[in-house]
Amino acid sequence: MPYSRLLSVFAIAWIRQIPAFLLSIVAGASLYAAPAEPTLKAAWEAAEDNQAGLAYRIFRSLQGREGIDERERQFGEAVSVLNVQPRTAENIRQAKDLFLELLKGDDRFAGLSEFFLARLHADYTDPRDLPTAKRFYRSALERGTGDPVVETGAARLVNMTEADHPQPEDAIRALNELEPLASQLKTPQGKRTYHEAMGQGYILAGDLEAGLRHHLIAESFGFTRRQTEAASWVTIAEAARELRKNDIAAEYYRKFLAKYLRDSRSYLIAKKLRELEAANHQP
Amino acid sequence: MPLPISKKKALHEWKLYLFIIPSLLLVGTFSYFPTLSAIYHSFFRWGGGDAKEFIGLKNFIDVLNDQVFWASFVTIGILVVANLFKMIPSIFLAVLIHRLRSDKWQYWYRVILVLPMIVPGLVTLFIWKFFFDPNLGVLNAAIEQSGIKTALVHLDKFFGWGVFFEGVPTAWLGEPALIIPALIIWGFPWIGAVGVLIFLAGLQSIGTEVYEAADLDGVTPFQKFLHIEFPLIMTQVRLSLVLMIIGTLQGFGLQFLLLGENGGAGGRGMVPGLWMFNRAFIAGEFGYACALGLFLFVFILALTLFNNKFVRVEK
Amino acid sequence: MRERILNTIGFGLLAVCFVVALGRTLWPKPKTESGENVVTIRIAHWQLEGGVREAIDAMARAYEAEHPGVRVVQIPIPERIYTNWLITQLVGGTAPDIIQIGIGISDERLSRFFVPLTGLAEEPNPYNKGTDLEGIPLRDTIFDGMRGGYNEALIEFYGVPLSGTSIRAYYNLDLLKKVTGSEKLPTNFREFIELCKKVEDYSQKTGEILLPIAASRYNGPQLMERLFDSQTQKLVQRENPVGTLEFQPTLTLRRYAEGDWDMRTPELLSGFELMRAVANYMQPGFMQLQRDDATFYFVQGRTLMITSGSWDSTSIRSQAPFRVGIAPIPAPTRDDPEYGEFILGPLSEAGSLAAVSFGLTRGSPHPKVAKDFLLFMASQRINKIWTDVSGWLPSVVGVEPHPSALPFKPIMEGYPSGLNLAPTPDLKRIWATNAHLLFGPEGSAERFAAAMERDFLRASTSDLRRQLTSIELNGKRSDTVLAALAVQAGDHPDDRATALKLDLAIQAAATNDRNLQSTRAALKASEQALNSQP
Repeated sequence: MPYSRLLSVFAIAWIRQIPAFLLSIVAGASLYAAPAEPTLKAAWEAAEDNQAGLAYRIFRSLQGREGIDERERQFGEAVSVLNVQPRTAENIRQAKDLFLELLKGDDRFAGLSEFFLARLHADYTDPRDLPTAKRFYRSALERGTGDPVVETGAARLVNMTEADHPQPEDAIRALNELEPLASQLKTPQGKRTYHEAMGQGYILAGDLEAGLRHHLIAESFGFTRRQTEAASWVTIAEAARELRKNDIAAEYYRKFLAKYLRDSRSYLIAKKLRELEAANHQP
Repeated sequence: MPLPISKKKALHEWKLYLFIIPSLLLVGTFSYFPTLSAIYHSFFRWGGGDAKEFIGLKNFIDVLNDQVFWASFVTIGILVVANLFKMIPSIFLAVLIHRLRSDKWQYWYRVILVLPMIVPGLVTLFIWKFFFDPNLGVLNAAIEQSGIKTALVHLDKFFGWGVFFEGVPTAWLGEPALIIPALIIWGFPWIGAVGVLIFLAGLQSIGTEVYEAADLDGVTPFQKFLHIEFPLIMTQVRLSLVLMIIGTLQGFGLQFLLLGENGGAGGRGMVPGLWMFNRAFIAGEFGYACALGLFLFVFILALTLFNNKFVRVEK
Repeated sequence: MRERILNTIGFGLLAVCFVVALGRTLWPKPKTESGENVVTIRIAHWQLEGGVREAIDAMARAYEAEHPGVRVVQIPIPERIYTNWLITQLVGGTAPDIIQIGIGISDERLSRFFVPLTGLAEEPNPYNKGTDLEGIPLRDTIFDGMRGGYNEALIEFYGVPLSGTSIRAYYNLDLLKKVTGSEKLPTNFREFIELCKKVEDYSQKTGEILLPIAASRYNGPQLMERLFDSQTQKLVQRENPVGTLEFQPTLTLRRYAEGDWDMRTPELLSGFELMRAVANYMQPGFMQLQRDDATFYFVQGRTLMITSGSWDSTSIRSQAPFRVGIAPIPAPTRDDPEYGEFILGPLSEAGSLAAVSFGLTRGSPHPKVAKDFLLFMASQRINKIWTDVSGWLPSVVGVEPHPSALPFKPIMEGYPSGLNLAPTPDLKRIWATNAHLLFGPEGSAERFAAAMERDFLRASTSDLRRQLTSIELNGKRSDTVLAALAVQAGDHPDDRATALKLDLAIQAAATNDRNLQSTRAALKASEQALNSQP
């Protein structure tokens, strides 16, 4: 297999972008040609469909258009330019400027912009700027907009403790300091992700009691994602068993077996449940 | 040196230039375009898809610290030296064919030489892979039947190689110490049809008067080769040398097919091209593979320039 | 003059060929013939193993019989070139309507070229009408809840799987009878080792060249991983403080960097020794051989046993001139005197995902018909045709596997898996390049452990770095999606579908963020350990 063959793969990789490029020119041209067609709705649908490039072009084409909510458009432009390829420092700076501009308002886009500014500093800038990211997560929460996405910032703050504090005692201290965040959360999604993260953080650091408490709160909001639900139930049951809270352990083992029999852990869990029940019946 | 021509003369039959457009387009698309693409992508963190992130020179800095990549040059260095010696049988065969008195036999030898070229390269590779099979392969059967194996086992005991054992089939591609020898043995008796034809063309351009003068001086056949034929086909030798070096440095099909994407036991069969393939298609680091490719390109260019400068042809 | 005429004719022919070729390239023959009220849909896949093409053909003919206006064309593509073929077809806009997904389709290609099937997954399959699955959402009619067709990063279903898979040991029953006088297959590791010894004795006695196990660098690791797995089940439970009872690859690598376990941990050494013990019964130098070489050895009757997936069952049976017996891989049990100490029990296959997943392309000229055919294939009645003709396991709940597929039914009464020492590219590479130190004539568990110890940290750090990049990329991509869903859900608070999608996206993003931070923590620990190495 000669080197030229490998190069031809790169050629294909590039050549295959030509139709997309041409299409994008056509799409772009058609946007300008037909001003009635592009809408914020179409742009958001493209963004939701993982087509950030297309979404960005539509948002840009809507600039200055009558009847368009300019703040929503700006926000759309900022969140979509983050994923326009190739991702460059210039794109990131453009998004940052737009988000900072949006912070001046006092609507839902201000809160969301603050959250995404945190994301931008946490993962997009080179080098990453974690102190600024944490500050933006916190200030976004303090706004109290009640937006579920903004409130997931609390869980992201919690998750950071794992890499920041490898030693269990430091991690527990850091998690304790994050306990007050709970009072700032209004949405079930925000509360659930926060308590789930806290539960996992505590259990990883070895504080089963606190971990179980948070996991039980998270679980009370219910999960729609099956893998998260299954993992949460097993963790609750295991932590409760360790803490000799056999009733809770048995309850969650049963819940798991009732719903997730097609899981590689189900046989082991059934065995653990039997052992637990046998222990409960012993005098 | 060609004589300069006037602009008018050059443009007189301008229509003829149109004929080179298709070739230019093909060369541009399939040779220059991918190379430019590789240069462009070497500055990105790129997984082969649309998503890519500009990372400046990071890929190149990582290449400098890539132990596997630099270690692979040791293997390729040995293979280049071995391939240099593997050119000798082709030169000798070309001389033998050239010295045949009968034109008819010369013709038939050339035909016999070219015929195997019809067999696709991949089939040859598979046949050799089968030769190396530890349990059913021809190589093990041959050394077993000829008694060479017993000698090798004794030598192994003496030198402590730890690769040849009595009653255990030799895993030619499964033992690190045997991988490079196996790669060198590959292609025995190392007669490349293209190489022979190139040398033959060179030999045939030697005038008969040179041979006649040599005969009058009572020159032996070997002296003829040493003082007449070899110096006069140096242009062809140099061409073959350049092609061989480029081919050896770029190629990895042989290693990939015989040893897999990791270069076999101990990674001893890992060559730069295979590592580039591994990073692109196994690790999904296409941007990094492009940077590796550029390093390889610079290396080949340097070697070719060195070759052109120092392997001189006396006119 | 004659020469000139011939030249003109030659040139003319060349020109005609060129024009025709150019025309066919620029204006290809329509791939879908809608003329005369016939709709043609095309289905592409890479499963060239025996039985699959016939099964898809049978399903297609059944569909055509019930839908006279439709013609289904099957396009089988070799696995080796599937990715290149697929990319060309997708970008060129000539992709078939239905395509098997799994190889060569990145998340971005999936989202760009394929139709999300989440809506379809939540709807009952109309072709299940009149069965016990009537009214049940499609996803719940597939044995794994259709997880085999779900994309975690994109939070959407993209494929409908048709089959189940498992790995088993295939035996040459005729040879077994010749060697042992009976056809009883080994049920545990001890019986298996005894059998291997008997094959060797028989070979020596009769002079017939026979080996107990056919292996290659494809089949060998399948068997080895299962054996090694058995020795590390308890280790995995111990190294998982999160209490999910599952193997946590990232956390396990972090624990390695922190010195909690190493290559000389008793469980690992025991696993290496077990692998070496079994490798002694394979062909010498098996790691230099390929999948086809091992199959060739087996079907030629040169070995008693081979390990392979259920996907090879029909091919092996059709090629072998002897009767084939199939049984679970004979891993040691808890009462094994030598290897029983670290075992929890047999490996569970209850969590295995459904496979042979088909997706719908966005460019399909007949999306309704294509979707309908997909549902047709995933119905209880037609999935029975699939298993009966292909000999592969079904994916639809309640479909009885064809008798030849019965040995591949998943083992439900088993325990979670052990450690996978080579799950990622660079760890795989060092495993492969050091394997000769374990399986070679002078190999040993200790030599292998020493070499792995030397290379492991560097390789795992490299893999963790790559994993981090990939998780970061997923996180970044999901940011735009999250924002879009947040705005849409805010605009339409009563839209339940958007609310559900936002909820799923939030949970997926939370999981991704958790993985991101765990990977960062593991990478940090690995880099520190690497820097502190002499």
